[in-house]
Amino acid sequence: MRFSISSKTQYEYSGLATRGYHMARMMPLSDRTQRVLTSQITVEPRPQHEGMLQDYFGNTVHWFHLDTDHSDLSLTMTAEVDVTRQPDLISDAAIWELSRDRAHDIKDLSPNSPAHYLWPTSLTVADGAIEAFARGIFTSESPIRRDVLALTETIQREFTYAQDTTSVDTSAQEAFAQRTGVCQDFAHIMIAACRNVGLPARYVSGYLRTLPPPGRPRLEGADAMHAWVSVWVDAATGWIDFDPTNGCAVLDEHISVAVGRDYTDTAPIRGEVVGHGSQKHTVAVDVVPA
Amino acid sequence: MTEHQHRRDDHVSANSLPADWREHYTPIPGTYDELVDHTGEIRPAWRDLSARWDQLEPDDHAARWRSADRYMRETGVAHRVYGADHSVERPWPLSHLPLVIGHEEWQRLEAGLIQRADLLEAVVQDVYGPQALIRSGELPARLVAGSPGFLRPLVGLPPRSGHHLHFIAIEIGRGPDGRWWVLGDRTQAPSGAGYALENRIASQRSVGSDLRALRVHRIAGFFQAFRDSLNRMRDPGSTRIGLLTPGPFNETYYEQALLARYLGFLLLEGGDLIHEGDAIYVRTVRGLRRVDVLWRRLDASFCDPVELLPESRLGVAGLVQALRARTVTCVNSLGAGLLESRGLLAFMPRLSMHLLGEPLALPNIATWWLGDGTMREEARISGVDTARLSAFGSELPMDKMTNPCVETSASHSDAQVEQEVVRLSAMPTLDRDGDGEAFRLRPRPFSLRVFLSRTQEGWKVLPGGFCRVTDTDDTRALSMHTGSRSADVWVRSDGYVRPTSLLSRSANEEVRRVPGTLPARAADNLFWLGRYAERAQLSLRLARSLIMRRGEAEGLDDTALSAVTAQLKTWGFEETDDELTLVDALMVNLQLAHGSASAIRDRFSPDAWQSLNRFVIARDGNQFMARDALSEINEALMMLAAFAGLIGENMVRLSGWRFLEIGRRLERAIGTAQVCQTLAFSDHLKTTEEAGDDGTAQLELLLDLADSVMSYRQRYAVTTDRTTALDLIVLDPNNPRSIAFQLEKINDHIHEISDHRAFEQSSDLQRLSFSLWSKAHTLRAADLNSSTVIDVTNGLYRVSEALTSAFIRPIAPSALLQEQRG
Repeated sequence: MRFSISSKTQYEYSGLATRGYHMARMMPLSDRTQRVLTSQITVEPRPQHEGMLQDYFGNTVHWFHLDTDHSDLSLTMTAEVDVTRQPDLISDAAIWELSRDRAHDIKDLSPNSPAHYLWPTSLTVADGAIEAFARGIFTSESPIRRDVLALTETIQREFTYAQDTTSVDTSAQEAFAQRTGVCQDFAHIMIAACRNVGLPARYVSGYLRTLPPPGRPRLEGADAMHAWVSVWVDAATGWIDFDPTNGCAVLDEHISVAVGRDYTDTAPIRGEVVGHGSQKHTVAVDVVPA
Repeated sequence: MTEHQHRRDDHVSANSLPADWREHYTPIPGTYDELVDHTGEIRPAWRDLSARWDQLEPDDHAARWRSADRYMRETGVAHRVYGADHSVERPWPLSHLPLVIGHEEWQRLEAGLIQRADLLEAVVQDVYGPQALIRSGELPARLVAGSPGFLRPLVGLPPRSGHHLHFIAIEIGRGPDGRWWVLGDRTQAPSGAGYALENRIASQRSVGSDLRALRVHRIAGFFQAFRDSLNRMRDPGSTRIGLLTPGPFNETYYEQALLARYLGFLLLEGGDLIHEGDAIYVRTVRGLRRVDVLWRRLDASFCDPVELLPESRLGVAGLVQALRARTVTCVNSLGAGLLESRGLLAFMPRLSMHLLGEPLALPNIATWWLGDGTMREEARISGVDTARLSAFGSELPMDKMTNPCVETSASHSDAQVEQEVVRLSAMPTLDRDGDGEAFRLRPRPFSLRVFLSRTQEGWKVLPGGFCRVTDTDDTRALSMHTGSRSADVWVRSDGYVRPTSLLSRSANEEVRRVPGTLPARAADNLFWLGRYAERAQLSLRLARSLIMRRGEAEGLDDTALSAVTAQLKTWGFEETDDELTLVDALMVNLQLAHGSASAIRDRFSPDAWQSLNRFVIARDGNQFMARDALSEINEALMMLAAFAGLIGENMVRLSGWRFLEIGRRLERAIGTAQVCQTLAFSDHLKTTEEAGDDGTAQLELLLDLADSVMSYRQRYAVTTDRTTALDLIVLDPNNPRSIAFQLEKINDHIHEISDHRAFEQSSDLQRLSFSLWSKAHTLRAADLNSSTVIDVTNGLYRVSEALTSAFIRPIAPSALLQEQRG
């Protein structure tokens, strides 16, 4: 399925900013399930220096430097992507303990290696409550696909999607305790639960199709950047994606942008701005079949 | 003086090394003793020293130890200690006796340490490069991936210098069998080398012997070689080496300032640096200057908020990008801290075989990573006394665990190691005998931090080190935070010891008189130090007049008193009858001066800093016994005079000194103008004049405050006249307290610092200061009135603003971009 994606991020500063140095992770990535045909980012005002690089995890980073006075900043990203994701046919013989043990013994530290995704980060540390939650779902010798999907659905069912109840710094524990949050929080909770039982899980940021295909419900999170979770099965199968916000496996309505250990690794934009005053920002995303 | 210091002084003055010290010295059972062997014989390395002790009278010992104590106190050797909700700088306690290590033993140690340094470099090269150790399973991927020191953005970026490690420390201790063991590796930003330097100076005093006669290796050569090797890494055209500090609130800031001063490096905070284009620059008073070698004392993850820890406010946004562009060298590389993870110790023996083809010459303490099934089993059957510790921590096993590892659940018990509990060897210290008054020589366990730096000829080991001695027999409580002492380390040579000092340089070093690079932040602090110190002086003087006049039984002059009170009020001090409350309030200027000075300690002679520091610390500690407002004021004024004198005599006339001078002169001129305004021109004085008061009392007070009574009496013998008094205080260019005199000096300094004319604003500044100066030199005393004085005051404020915008250009606060989320 081919999508054309456009996203616009705008910052307004109450005072004058004299410098800015930023890194944006907004361009879709190419992997075995999706192929980027075209993509570009335009920054206004025009940066004095800008360029692209691949970060450690293989995400495309657009960096830029502003050193003239400016009071707003906008980033426009447009891309065309072919998504060829097929429903994953993982055998029921693939039990989750097998994935755990293989990941633990893996002799690989390359960017796609599950070794990076076994340890909790400060945003994904499990406490007793998350541990109990995880143990209630991962049962002995059960198929990985069944348990992970159950985890995905349980989070969607038991937690309330609500803006403004959490912030970018909210940890999995905090979101779990208050049982509300947005896609970032649900992804962190799911990651914390998986890593707690020793299963490698990573954070995925990306875009969602704005309007659903006929007969399907509209997915939550389509108006801005979305986030979901990828779980490692084995070296041959690799990483399989699940969306705890919408309680489903990821199929043909998701377009991946960046992967990492948690939100911090994939943040759509990170940077430092020099100047007085406060900031306000808005994001608009549109994803339509091309 | 702190309570702690009092106690230590008592130690020494009341007691000294007893003549019969040998009989009373009993080694701790089951440990190796550094001083005596199992038969009670003094070990060879210590014999020369102990022979000298025997020759000394008890009083000589006492005098020498006192002298060492005083040195440590007066140079301000300090260490910041964190309490529950605040932190204080505490003097660094020095153990009076050094640790002595013999020549041959040291040579063996050196070889083992150098082998380890090479091994560490090989490991870090591989992890950030080809990762062959991981693919072959020599190093588990999972262990490296979990280490907080493993910085992913740095993978695949070979350091510009070709090496990750340039300056490291290795922590060692000696076991009961007499063998040395490695306790931990310090590759992030090791501290302690500067303390070793201070300890050396102090211990020379305490032992009172000529170290050359005792054939003790000098340590200056090590620092010289380190400095030279960093200098060789610089690009032509870049400025001096930068020492990147976390700032004055870091626990070892004292040491960082000391090393910067000693080595001639720029002491830089993240805020001094800016990333532009592809390089890193220092913001100086003369614009941006490129810096390309940074010796960092900042943990790597704090170095760049955009690519590393986003919450860091101490780093430089863009440093990683500059590393990518290979325009900067960090020492050690960002990412080298990975090697500090305790879990790696479990793998070092076999990594040594694998990478070097030889066993470790200096073994590390037995460590088993619990994430590895085989190791878990080995630990269980080892029969060794072990402790369970975080695999990713780096504290010594005997350090108090101040930072328990992140709560990890059962499945992450493999974030832990079992590590052998070591019984460290003991060295002699002078200790209180129980609760009694007697003191005696007593063995105390210690650990030793040894430093290595990479030079052109390979690794060089500091012949000495930083030795930490416990205050108890308990080898598990050894931490700088919890009150242990440190000791100097003497490495004996088998031959003649050549004197070296950082000052003896090779002949081809060019003579340089040009001003160095003054970071804008340092200029700002110097300027404000000058202003606060002067403001403190003026307000204290005013308060002194107030208190003295109040105390005078007769001649109490209400008008003068109310004028003084009014002036204090304009400076923000509330009227109070309690003199001590007033004195405490006035000290705020001293605290501000102290704050400015503490951020630029590398720019002063230690004496100048210490005169200010001791006073402020003593006041903070409430150590004035019986409080008396007048004597406190006098003491503060004397200290300020001493401070100004030490600066005037000892600071090189470079731009830094000029910023301080401008601040001082500007504040003096402003203060004098304000006092003139209050005492000679204000409205309430007019009413008293109408009432028949001739204002003599105010004029005398004015002369007093301007410290010009003597000058006035030399010129005008008898009466006090308003015009002549104002002439002396405002316009007389020969009176060093007059406003005109200050303007002349300010104008000179501004002329000097504006030489290069790099910025348009400097000419504005020069014009402003020149016009103010010429105005003061063309006015006549009779022209002086309230509005001319106000004009001068406003002119001075404009000079201050213009100076700030031309040279200091305070950078606006930086904020992280708000992040967005779905």
